[in-house]
Amino acid sequence: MDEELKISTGIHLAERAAVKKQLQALEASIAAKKKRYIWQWAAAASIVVAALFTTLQLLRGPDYNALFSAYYEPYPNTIAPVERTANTDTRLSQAFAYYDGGDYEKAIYAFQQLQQSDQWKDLQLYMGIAQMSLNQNEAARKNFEAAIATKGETAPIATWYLGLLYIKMEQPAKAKPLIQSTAATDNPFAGNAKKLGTELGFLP
Amino acid sequence: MINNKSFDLERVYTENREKFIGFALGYSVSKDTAIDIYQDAVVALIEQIRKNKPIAVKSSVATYLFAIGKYMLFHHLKKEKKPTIEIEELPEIEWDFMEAAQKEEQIVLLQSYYEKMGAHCKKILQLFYYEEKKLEEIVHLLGYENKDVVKSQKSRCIKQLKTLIAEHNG
Repeated sequence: MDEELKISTGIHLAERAAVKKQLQALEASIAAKKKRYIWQWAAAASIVVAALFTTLQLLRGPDYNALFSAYYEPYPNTIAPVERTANTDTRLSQAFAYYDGGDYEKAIYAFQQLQQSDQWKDLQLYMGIAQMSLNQNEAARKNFEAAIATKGETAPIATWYLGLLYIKMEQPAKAKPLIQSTAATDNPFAGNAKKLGTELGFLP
Repeated sequence: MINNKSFDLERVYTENREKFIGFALGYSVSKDTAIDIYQDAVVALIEQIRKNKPIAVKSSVATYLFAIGKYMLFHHLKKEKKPTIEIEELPEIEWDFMEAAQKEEQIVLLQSYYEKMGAHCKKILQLFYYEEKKLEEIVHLLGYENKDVVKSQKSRCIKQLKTLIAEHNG
């Protein structure tokens, strides 16, 4: 190879290498742009998924079952505590023994035997709770309503439980005035009613 | 016909990249190899444009780029001796890979010292040897008085290049 050709070849190779270097830099920027695009796409996709999830949640409304489970607990036996005296009505004690032990079927049967007793108007609250625990929702509703109608000591408690029953039955419109009323009156469940009412948007 | 001024390297590179790489991958080369070959094809395209070769008379830039890329891909496959790949007849392209020259020590040195030269000398040598411009064109492009001045300037630059290599060998 003559000298002139060698110079020409060397310069060609150098110029080609310079252009190639430029293209390699361009390729690297394309790869970086693609990577950025993938991240942006992933971020946008997660926003869409989150928005869809939120929308679905809003469309589906609150999880009433979860709310019921969170707020429901059987009302304690204040009528026939275990430390009973010798004069206590044994049928009543037996009924509450079943109730306290969570044997609601037997408790319901035992309460039914006391329908003619003086304490029946108070027992309707416990009857309703036992029935609600066994998913006898319609029967429970009737007993709670009856307890409320007596306007006795158990009326505000029954109001709370009837409200909870409607939450369980996914009937928020019916639960609303009951929960609002429980929150507004002086009773052991006023605090819980305020919290639940706020969660459901019934209270400010 | 396109020229140096109207050529948008980034646009041409980006617009034809996917199509060529997709084609090359069909011949069982790695993506890195496909990109490397595509870049060599673009290097060749730029060289043709700088030399004012009539590449766009019969075909568009994209067609030429694809043809030269295909030529380089098949050349690579032949070198790799991949027996399972049926290679089409090579497209009729004039291209010197200068593969043997790349192994010559003196040429490697020339390449290396050329890169280190001053901008002025480098430009004259680039225009004359790489872009194959005539002395009259260089007079016009670099604003010299006449071609004799360019000629003597070019000689000085070559002498400088040779001295650098001699010093290296010496």
